[in-house]
Amino acid sequence: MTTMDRKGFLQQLTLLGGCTLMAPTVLLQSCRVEPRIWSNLSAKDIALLDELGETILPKTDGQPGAKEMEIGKYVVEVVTACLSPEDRDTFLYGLTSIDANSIADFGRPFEDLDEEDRYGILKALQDEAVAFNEKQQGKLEPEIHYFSLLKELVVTGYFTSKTVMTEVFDYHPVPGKYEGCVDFDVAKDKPYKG
Amino acid sequence: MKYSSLKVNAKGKEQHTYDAIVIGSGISGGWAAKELCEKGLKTLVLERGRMVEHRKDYPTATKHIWELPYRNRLTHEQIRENPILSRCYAYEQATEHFFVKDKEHPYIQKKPFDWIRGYQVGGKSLLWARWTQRWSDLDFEANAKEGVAIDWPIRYRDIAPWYSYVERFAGISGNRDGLPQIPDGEFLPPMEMNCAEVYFKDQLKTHYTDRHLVISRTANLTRPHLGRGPCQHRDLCYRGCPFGGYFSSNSATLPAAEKTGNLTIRPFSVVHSIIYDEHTQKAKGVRVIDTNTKETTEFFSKIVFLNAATLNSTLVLMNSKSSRFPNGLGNDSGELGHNLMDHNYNARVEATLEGFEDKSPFGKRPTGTYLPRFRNFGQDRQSNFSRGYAYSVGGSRRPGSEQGEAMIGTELKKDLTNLGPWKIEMTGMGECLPYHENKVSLSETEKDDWDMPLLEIDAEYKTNELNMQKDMVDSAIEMLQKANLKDIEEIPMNRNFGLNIHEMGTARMGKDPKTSVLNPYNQVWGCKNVFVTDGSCMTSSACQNPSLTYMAITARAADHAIKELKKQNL
Repeated sequence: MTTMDRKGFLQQLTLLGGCTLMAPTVLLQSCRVEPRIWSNLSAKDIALLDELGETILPKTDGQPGAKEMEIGKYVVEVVTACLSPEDRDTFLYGLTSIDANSIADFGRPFEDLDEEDRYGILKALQDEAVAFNEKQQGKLEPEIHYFSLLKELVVTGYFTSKTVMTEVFDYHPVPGKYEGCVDFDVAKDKPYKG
Repeated sequence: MKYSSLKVNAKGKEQHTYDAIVIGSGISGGWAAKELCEKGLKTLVLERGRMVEHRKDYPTATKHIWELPYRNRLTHEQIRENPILSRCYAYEQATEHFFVKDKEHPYIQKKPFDWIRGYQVGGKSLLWARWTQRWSDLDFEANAKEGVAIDWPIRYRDIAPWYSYVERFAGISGNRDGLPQIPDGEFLPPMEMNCAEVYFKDQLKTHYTDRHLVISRTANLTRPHLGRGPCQHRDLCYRGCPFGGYFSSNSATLPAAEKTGNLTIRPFSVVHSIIYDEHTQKAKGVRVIDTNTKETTEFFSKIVFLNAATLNSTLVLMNSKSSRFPNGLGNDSGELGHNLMDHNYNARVEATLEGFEDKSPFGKRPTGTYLPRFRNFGQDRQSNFSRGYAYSVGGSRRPGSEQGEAMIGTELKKDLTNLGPWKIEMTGMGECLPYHENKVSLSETEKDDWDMPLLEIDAEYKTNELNMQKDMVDSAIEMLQKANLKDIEEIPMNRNFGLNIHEMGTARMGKDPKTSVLNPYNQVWGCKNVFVTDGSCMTSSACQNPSLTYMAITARAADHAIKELKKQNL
C-alpha cells in the first residue's frame, strides 16, 4: 500500500463516513457498528492494543501474554514519542484498516471477536506483510507494512518488560563473567539475557 | 577533584600560572595529565564540557532496560534534532548525556562528514570501543615504502616501550598470538572466544595460511587491576562503568593525576587559542573562554599539551594566529588541517552457522574477535589497492530465528523465547590513505556561540578505499563460504566519512618542518613547548583502532617534555 493509497483511503472514509463505503457484508450487518478512524493514539486505545498484542504474543503455560505486560500502554507511548510522522501515519492507518476489516468480515470490532477470529485476521495480515516486505527488497526507500510495525512494537515491548526478562529468561544483569560455550538444553534451559 | 573557581581575570598572573597546561581531558589528555602530574608538574587540565566524576556521574549505569525512557529507544524528536548523532551506534537513551547534540556545536560539511563528539571531563574515553591492537612497522613504514604523503618520523622500536608502559597501567586483556602485524603486548588474561568463533578460527586455519582469528586485545579488565575492575561482562560500557571495568580518563588517568596533588581541572573552559610569545618563540599560555559566562581568561605555563581531539586540536592551532604564524600555530608547512583520515567500515557480511545447538554463550562480552590484516602483507599483493584491512568478527547466539518473521501467536512466542542459530558477523575495517585534499579549514564568516570560527570539513573516501571496500566484502563472503556457513548475506553499509569516529591527521608528525606540523616528539615545529599528541598527529591511519597508539605517543611525548624541561630546553 503506497502513501497515496493510504491517504486516499483515509480521505474517503473521512468524507463519506464508514458505512456507505464498506463492502456489502457490512451493509448486511445493517451498519450498526461504525468503523473508527484513527488520527492519533490515546489512553482509550490501550484496550484494543492490548488485545492486538495478546494475539501476537498470547499467554501460554508458564509465560505471561503481552496484555499482562501492559503492551497497549507501551505501544501508545512509543508510537506517540518514537515513531516518525510517516511511520505513525502508517501505524494509525493500520488500526483503521484492522477495524474496518473486522467489521466487514464479522460485523464487530477486533476487541469483540473471539480468539480464533482475532488470530485469523492478524495471521492474514502477517502473510500480507511478508509478501509486501519482500517486494520492498532492493528498493532505495523501502516502505514498511503496518503489521510489521505493530508486531515490532509488541515484540520489543514484551521482551524488554521486567517480568519477561527476569522470568522467561535467565536474566543476569551483572553476570560477572563471559563463557563462550556453556551447555544448553533446549528442552529445559532458559536462554541467557543480560 | 580540585576545581578552579576563577571566573574573572582579576587575580593576577601568578594565580593563573601552572607548570603545564593540558587542553582536553579525553583519552590522550588524561594520559598527559597523569604523566605530567606524576613527574611533579603543577598541571591545569582545561575541559570545554562539564565535570563527569567516576561512578557519581553515570546516572544510567545500573538501570535495567525497563527503567529507561522508552526502553532505551530514541524518540523521534531526538532523531529529528540530531540527524548526525543519531547515526552513531552508541547514541541511545542510556548514553545520550555523553554526546554533543548537533545543534549545540555546528560545523560546515563541504562533503558529508559525521562528527561525533563527547564534550565532558573524560571526553570520548567514556564512549570508546576499547579495542587496542598495537601498530607495527608494516604501518609505520608504509608511507615511506610506497612514497605516499610523508614518512612517519618514528618506528615500532620507538613506540614499543611506550605501548608496554600504557598497557601496564590501562589494563589490556588479550592473548599473545605472535602475529607480527599486531605485536603482542602486556596482557591481562584474554576473554573467551565462543563456539562459532573457535569453529571459524579453525576453519580459517584449514583453508588459509595467512588468516588468523584472535580475541581482540581490549581495555577491559579480566582481573582486578590497580584498584579497578574487574569487568563484569555487562557490555554496558558506554554508560560509564561503576566497576571501573574498562579504561577511561575518569576511572584511571585522572584519579592517578589527582592523587599527586598537582592536578587542577577546569571544566566549562573552551580554549580559544594558544598565546605565542614572539620574543621567546614559545607559547606562554592559553586564552580560555568560560563556556557559561563567555568571559576570557588567560592561563600561563611552561609547556602546553594540546589534546582536544583531532579536529578541535587543529581548530585551536588554526585559531592561534600571530605575526610569526599568520596561518595558524606551527603551520609553516601549510599542512595544518590537511590529510584528514578516518577508517572505512562500509563492509559487513552476516551468516548462519549450523550446529552447536546444545551450546550457548553466557554473559555479555564487551569485545569481539579480530582478524588482522592479510592484504599487501607477507606474500599477498593486491593490484587495485594498497594497504589493507582487518575484520571485526563476532559470533553470537540469541533468541529468535528468521522463521519468526512470518509467525504470530504461540508459534512466534516459542520462537522468540528459544535460542536461534549461531551467527557470525564480519565488519571490515579499512585503512584510509592520507590525502592532502581531505582537509578542514576555518570558516571565514561563521562563528559559534563562543566566537570561535566554525570548522569546515571537506573529506571523502577515494579509489583506494573503495576498491579495498569491495575486497573486504568479497573476502568475507569467500571465507564464510569456505567455512561452510549458510545464508551468507552482505549488509549494505553507507557510513559517512567520520562516523567510524577514528578521525585522525590534520597536524601530522614528520621529520621535516617543511612538510609536517609536529616533530618526531610531537612538538609543534617553531613552537617547541607545545605538544600535540591526540589523533591529529597521525601521519597515516593503519587499520587498527587508534586510541592505544595515541596513549603511547602521549606518554612518550610527556617523558620527552619532562626531560627537555630538566635540560632547560623548553
